[in-house]
Amino acid sequence: MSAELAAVRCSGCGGTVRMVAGRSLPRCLFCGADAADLVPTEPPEGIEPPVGQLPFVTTADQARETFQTFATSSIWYPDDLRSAKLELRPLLLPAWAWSGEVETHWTGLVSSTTRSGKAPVAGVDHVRFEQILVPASRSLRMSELASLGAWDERALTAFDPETCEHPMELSELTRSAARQRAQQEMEARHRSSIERDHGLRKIRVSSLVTQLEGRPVMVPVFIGAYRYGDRTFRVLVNAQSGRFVGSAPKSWIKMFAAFTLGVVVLVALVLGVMACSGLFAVAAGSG
Amino acid sequence: MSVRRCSACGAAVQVPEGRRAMTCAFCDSALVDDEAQQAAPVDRVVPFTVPRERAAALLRGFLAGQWFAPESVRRAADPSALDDVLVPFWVYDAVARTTFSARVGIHWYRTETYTVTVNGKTETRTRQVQETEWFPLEGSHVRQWFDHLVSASRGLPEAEANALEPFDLGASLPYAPALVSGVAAEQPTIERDEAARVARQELADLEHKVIASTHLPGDRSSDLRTQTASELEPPRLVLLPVWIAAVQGPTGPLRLLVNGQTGEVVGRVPRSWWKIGGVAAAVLLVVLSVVLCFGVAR
Repeated sequence: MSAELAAVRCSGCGGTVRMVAGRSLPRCLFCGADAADLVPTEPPEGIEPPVGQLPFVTTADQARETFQTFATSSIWYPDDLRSAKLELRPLLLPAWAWSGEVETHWTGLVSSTTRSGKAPVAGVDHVRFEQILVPASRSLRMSELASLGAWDERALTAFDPETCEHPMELSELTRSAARQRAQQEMEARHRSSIERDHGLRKIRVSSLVTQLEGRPVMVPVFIGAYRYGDRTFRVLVNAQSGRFVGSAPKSWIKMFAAFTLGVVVLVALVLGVMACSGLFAVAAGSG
Repeated sequence: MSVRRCSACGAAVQVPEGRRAMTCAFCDSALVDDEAQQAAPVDRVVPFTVPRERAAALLRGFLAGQWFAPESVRRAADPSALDDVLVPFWVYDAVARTTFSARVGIHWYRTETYTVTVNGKTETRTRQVQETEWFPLEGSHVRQWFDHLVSASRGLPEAEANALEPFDLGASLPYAPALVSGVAAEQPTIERDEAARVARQELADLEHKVIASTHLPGDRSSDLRTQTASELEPPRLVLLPVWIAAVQGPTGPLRLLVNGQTGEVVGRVPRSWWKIGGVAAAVLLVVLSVVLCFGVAR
């Protein structure tokens, strides 16, 4: 099936989604704004189209269950959250998959039987990374993207935007910016593995990344946004690992009720103590 | 000198050698030497962002801080005495690999016992004394260097060029004749081979500094020896904006430079011996008078 693609941008949060023409979204996937806020837009120029994709493993039902577990996990969440029919929709997030070789020259200290208990060491390690994923989403916070956890890059398959039935977020991350992030990610990963493998304390590194090759890809999530009062809360489920990311409002009514209850109990206690001591005083006076 | 015909008014204008562009003395339109661009293609140009008046003001501020500068030099920051010149630089990207050997010191603490006398009684106490244990270490370092600049102009010695840096090459524009018209744009007079030698030496020095300050483990280090091999990419030629003020000093001409992009002022200003002598004499006079006063008071 081949279909025309159309893009809409949310005038509230700026989130841009591309989908098969003719289909529409009931509200913004990122902030829950009404469909009236979604305005047709042209895809940004000079951004390469995705060529790979991680398939959906988690089903919509499983994602919903994950959300239900979360909604009932704290007594402070409002009751209407527990019963909320939050609609979790499939969405493809943009990312870049990079491969490359890293050469890291390192120095550090290892435990030793010297007087200080440490001795200096130095060395060079080489590693090749395959398909390191770098997020390219513009609408999600970096903390949310990090909390979605690791992706198994080995499951990457070919992707054709024209036959994709799910909405996809449009990336605005250029190749050179993605390349820079990939380089930093590879350097950081190699540094951690060297630190671990050699049992180093206070590691210092200098790295060279070569043979870098990258391609834009898509990773699957379920996303839902809801408004509580004037705030927007967003939940995400990694549709490959099933991992849940989200925050929820605390119910002010419940917190106020708990506070009032606490005050009442405290007052009752104080009054009780005073009454008892008063009785004793009366008893002592009469005695 | 070569003679070029002005395309605007038809006048034959003499262009001094080594100049890529200048203005026609008859009609003030720009003369750009296309042959020069073909002989040594300029990749990018950083345009002037510091205008003449601002450059003169920066120069005045710089000279005002030079107390001992001869008065003739201090008065010299006149806007009309400034020349705007686009100076050629070679730009290198390189991978530098360095092997090093050093001695690395790690602190450890020795517990020392000592005695003190308190109220006539002798007490034994202990204290921690810091000692350093030294280890030999050999290792390596790698770094990718981008946009390392080497002056391509004999007129701008490398030391002065380094003092003028940094330039932000991110603000550079691809070469276009319009960018160099009306400005004196110099031809490169330092060849690639010579510039490459300078680049290698400077990168080796930078690697040494980086290793000493960020790469060696431990608490202290000494005897750092480094050996650097740099793989240089073919250099690009860029033109960078410099205001040049030629000032008549007491012993001959001297030159001050203003970075046409950042406003950084560079130049060695001579000291006036008259002024230094005057200050020394004044100090001596004050000291003498104080001594004399005390002598009389006694």
